[in-house]
Amino acid sequence: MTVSPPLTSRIPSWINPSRLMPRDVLSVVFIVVLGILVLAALFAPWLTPYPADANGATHPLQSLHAPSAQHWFGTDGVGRDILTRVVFGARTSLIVVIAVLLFSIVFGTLTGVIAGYAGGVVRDVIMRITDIFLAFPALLLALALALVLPRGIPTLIICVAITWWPWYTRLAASVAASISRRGYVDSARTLGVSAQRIVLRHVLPNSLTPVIVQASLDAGGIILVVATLSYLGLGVSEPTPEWGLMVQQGQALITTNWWVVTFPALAILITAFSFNMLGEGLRVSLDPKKAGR
Amino acid sequence: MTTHLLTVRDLSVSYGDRRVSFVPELTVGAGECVAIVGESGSGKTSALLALLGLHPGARVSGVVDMFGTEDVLAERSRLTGLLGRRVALISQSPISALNPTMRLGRFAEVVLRKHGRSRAEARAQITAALSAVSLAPDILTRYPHQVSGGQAQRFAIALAVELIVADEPTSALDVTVQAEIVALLASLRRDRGMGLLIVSHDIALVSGLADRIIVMKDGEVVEAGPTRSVIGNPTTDYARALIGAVPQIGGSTS
Amino acid sequence: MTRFVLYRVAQSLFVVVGVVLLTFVIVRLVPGDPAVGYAGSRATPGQLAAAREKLGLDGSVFTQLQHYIADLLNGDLGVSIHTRQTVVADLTHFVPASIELVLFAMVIAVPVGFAIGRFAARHHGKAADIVMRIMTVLAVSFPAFWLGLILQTTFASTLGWFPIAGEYTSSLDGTSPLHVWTNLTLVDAAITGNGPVFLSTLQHLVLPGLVVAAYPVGAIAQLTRAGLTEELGQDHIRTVRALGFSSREVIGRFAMRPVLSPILTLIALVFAYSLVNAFIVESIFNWPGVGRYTTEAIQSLDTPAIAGVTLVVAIIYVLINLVVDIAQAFIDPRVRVQ
Ligand SMILES: Nc1ncnc2c1ncn2[C@@H]1O[C@H](COP(=O)(O)OP(=O)(O)OP(=O)(O)O)[C@@H](O)[C@H]1O
Ligand SMILES: [Mg+2]
Repeated sequence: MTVSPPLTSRIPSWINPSRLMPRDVLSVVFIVVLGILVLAALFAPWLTPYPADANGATHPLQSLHAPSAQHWFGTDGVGRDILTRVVFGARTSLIVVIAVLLFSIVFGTLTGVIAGYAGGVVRDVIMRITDIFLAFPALLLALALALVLPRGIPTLIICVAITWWPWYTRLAASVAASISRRGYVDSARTLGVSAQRIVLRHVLPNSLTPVIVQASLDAGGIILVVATLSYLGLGVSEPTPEWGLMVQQGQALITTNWWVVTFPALAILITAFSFNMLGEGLRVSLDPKKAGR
Repeated sequence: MTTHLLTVRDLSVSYGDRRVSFVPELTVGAGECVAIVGESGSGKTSALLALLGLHPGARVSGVVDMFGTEDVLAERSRLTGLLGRRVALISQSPISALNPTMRLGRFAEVVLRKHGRSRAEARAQITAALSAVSLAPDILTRYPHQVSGGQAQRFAIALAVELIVADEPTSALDVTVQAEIVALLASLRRDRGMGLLIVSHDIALVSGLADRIIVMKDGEVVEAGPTRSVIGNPTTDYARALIGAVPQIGGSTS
Repeated sequence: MTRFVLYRVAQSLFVVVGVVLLTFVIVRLVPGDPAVGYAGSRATPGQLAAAREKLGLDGSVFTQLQHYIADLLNGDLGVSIHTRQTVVADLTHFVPASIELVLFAMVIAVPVGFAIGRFAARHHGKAADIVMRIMTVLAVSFPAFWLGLILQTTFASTLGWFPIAGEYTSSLDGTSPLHVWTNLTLVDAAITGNGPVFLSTLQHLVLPGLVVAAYPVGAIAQLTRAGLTEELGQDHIRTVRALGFSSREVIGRFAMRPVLSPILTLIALVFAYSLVNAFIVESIFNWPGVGRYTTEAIQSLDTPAIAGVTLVVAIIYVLINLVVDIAQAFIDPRVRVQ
């Protein structure tokens, strides 16, 4: 399929790693928000009031307490502190996001660079394989796969990663192709510079900017897919704290005990929103054409 | 005394606090050609766009009279009747100046119909205009990416009527095609009395065409006058240097 | 042009074959024994073997694949474990309702997203643009299930403006029964002149439709804005402004067309995304579509059903993309050259 996302069609204009610093004030705000989230996830056991509640401890007597000084976000149906579980939930989400992006970027860029640089049959084969994976809406393939694999974080990672890497293949392939068409690469090649060196010196650095923008936008999407899988009961299993799962467990109580659903759902929204705003902002800041305006 | 198609007084263009172009005086009469030359960044394009009211993001002041309408920049409505109907802008990159998704024929028709022609009138006018710029009519069925730069530029010129404002109309073209376009502009001016205001880097090219030359540097006009005197005895070092860069002109006129 | 179309059709066929193989692989990965799910945990070995045969689980992987493909070619997707109907029968029943929901959402989302993007591009960099940017990013960041729960509790449970769930008020089956032609309730009600069912379905569609529309509105608005802003900086826009066209005409007649083709691609992508998003929305609003079917299938480890859904949605998606690509080639002549 020749469907390329709107992002990739504009890659060449962004190629300018020297402008990595976001100029946009909003981007800085969201970097701070995400930074806080990462720190909270890292130091969750020390920051949260009831770390045991993240691991299956239950307190039936304190079930469904409204938000208070002891429980800022209230407690859930089995009396667990929701603040604790929301903060620990950030760990789950971020681990999956990072693992999926790492795999997708490494594997995708590798296959993409090979495709774009080699061209010909190799390119065609790689691209047709990405077509097949991209023929499934992201959530659907993840959902089908999650159904047949055992529940847990590794499954989540595998399911999401398998639907995500082809975008990076395409991204890297188009950067690689546009670069290898340029004069200096040809002259480097005629001078006997090895393909490896050309890739390392020219293709990879030039892929960096579009990959960063894409990764930031994707992180938002991955957060949503992970939450949705868990919401459908296909992600992690109890007692692992996961935002989507927490919403699913609380949804029957939404009219009587609003806090059970609201805080984890807000966490999903804020995280996805921050990643998306950051990606949007970076896309504008990193685009040299728009930088002057 | 020629009638003035265009008169400009104290036209100033600024981006933020920075004034990038100031033209104290400029007139173009029917059948006249005026050229603005100057190095890159000297504010030529800025002045040109500003006097047509096309200045995205810039602050423009000054008075521009066109075809007897005074101070056309004061109100948008004063310009709309003139743009495209009497004055045309020709740009540097002829192909990207045309809508990539429209066949040239359709584009020309949309433009002429916008200017109040009926469909039949538009068709007739397009055919006549094409032959005036020696283009075959089959160009009308093509998209911009399917024509050459020279053809696209001829096509753009074909849409012009009384006054052409051209921003480096030849610099994106091959040398032989450049000469053809210059010849075309010269003939339009001679035969139809069109006025030309041309911006260029290329003094050699402009010296054969222009009656008067304005030399700009850093947003200011440093020299202005009849082509012969500007090229023959430039009064500023800058103009001398610009002309000196093209030896055969300096040599032939002195 | 003909070559382009043929090439794209061939490419799509190739993708469909790949999709079939991939689906097969996923279905075979299943660790538990679906035959146990089908025949029940207390089934005799004989019953189990019969269930295996019925589900196409006997024989080597290769013969299974052969059977799988042969069945597919005969339009047979196997038997659903939880409904015990053929998957094809289930899908013909459930897919139209989902399509109806997504189409309803897209009918809202495309013009609204377009209008917002256009508005933001016209006011590029001003406050209105920034507000729109935040709103559209919010729209694509909202978890559909939460938006669904919020709208349901607010506008259905609390305010009572809209029905809480379902396709249409079930008592209407008695008073004005619906003749089913297309399985698209709205269409069936319209062509049979069934006013009460039509109105009731429309009311039931509003909330789930809005939830499904949120993402497309945001995505389309963002792309329209970005594309238009970029297009407005192009040389050809200056040309038409110099030819005396007003800003409105410049956007509507000249800037929009080149932007249209990436937007069409996006609409195709978003349609597929929404179809899956509708899965979640359907289970919240009890809309009788493929989503509700799928969530029920998930609970009973119903691999034939999931495989069928996956395959059908992927094929729908491939077809949409094919149509869009060909449409694009008509809109933007540059696409054909590539
Ligand atoms: N949109 C803009 N915003 C800010 N500054 C601008 C903008 N457009 C032009 N300038 C500045 O105005 C000055 C004059 O630019 P202009 O394009 O008029 O020069 P020019 O003489 O046409 O140059 P060239 O020969 O390279 O086309 C330059 O210093 C340029 O940086
Ligand atoms: Mg210029």
